[in-house]
Amino acid sequence: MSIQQETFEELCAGYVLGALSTEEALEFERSLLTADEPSLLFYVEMVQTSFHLPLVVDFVEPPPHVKMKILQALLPEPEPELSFWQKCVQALRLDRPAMAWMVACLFLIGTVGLSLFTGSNLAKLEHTNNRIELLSERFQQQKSTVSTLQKKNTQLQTKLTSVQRELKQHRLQIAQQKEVISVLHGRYVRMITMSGLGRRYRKGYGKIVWNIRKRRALLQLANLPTVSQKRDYQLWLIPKSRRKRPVSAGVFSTLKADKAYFYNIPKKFIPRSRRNRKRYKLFAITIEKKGGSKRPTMKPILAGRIRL
Amino acid sequence: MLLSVLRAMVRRLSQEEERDLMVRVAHKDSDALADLYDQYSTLVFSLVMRIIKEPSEAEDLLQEIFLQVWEKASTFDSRKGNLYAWIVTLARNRTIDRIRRNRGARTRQQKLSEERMATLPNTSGETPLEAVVGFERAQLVRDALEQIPEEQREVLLLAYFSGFSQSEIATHLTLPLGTVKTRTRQGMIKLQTILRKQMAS
Repeated sequence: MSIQQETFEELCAGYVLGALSTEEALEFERSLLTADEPSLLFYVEMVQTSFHLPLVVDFVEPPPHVKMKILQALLPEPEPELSFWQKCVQALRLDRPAMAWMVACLFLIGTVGLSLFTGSNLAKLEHTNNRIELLSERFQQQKSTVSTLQKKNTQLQTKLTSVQRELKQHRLQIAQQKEVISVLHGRYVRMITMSGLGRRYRKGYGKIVWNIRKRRALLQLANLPTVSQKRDYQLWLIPKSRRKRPVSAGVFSTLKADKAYFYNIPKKFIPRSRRNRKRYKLFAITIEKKGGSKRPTMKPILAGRIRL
Repeated sequence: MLLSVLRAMVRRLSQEEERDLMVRVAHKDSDALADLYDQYSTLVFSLVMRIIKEPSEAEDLLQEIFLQVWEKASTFDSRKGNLYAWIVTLARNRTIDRIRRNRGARTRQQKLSEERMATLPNTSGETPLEAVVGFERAQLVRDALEQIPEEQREVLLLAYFSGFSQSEIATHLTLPLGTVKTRTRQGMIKLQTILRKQMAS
């Protein structure tokens, strides 16, 4: 006997007893495919011999209950009491494939439709939300811009007010300068200088530009203190004669410290004729009660000699 | 003893009748399975008991095996299949699986295919069971096994009833693997020779 045949028979004997490793069993099965007839016959005889081995056991009858258990296991399980849902399934004949398919299709179509509808609405809603967010953002930006503009506006308003005030001031100054120029214009212009009197008013000074021909006179004052609201400055023409009373040449109220002040002396107070003009020797300023007095009640604070 | 037990079994069925029975089992006829059980339960239970040696576990396995027969009946080729071989192989496989699992065996061992074993040609024309219940030759199988040398018989019985692979048998008996293979081959050939002689006479 060849070694190959002996190996085949060894594998075959182990194979029919189920005692080979997986690899050996595969090797044997492969060798069976190319085995010659005597080898195949040997294999069949080995298998049949192995079938006798179970018969050498001591026969024991199994307990009867095993058969019962097996047959019980084969019985279909008792139908459980149907739930409401299961009853519905039965009532709708969903246990029938055709009905089940139909209901499933309807359900699917409904679900798809609902999904599309909901999806579309959701998309719209999302779009609207996005727009609202965008608009809200823009609104906030514009609000911020408006706020900035309002601030700028306030600043500009303040500036404008300030500029207007300055403009008014300038206009006033221009008007006064025009007035001065107007008064100064011509041959018959006289200048009367007024000086501060006493310690308190010593820095104060004043000028009266008097156009005799035009009968116009302008008083410029500076470095005089501001009087209280209950008081006014009053300009007087002081006559040469002691028997004559000083004549009021006008009342003016506001004087700001360190600021030049122009007072256009009303025409009615300016003497018309030469003779009248020569009756007065001084211009004087006193601080009087509000609205002025008929005659000076206080000491003059400023005075200037009239030289015509 | 053996013959009395076998006689106690229900009427033996021919191969044709067994095949018809399997067709019915495949069509989920529980009466057919009950008949099959009556036919094979003692053999299967005895085989399982011999391998596993634990009655409660053997009962459990017997139930499992017949439920598997119920499930796999459609895979049995009823035209040319050998039902005895199919059931015996199925029962042995399940039982060996169980003891190998209980042992925590990690080596991969060959598994006999029920279908392959069941569809081999039967040279004698009758199953061993039929032959056994023919009264004349039942004891002869045991006698045949008794006639082969002790060391060869031991290897065959370990291989068939313990679920050991040849390598494991070699370890178990502290023998070289080659010796185990030789003894297996010689034992099987001798058993086959004795059985053939006995059956012929």
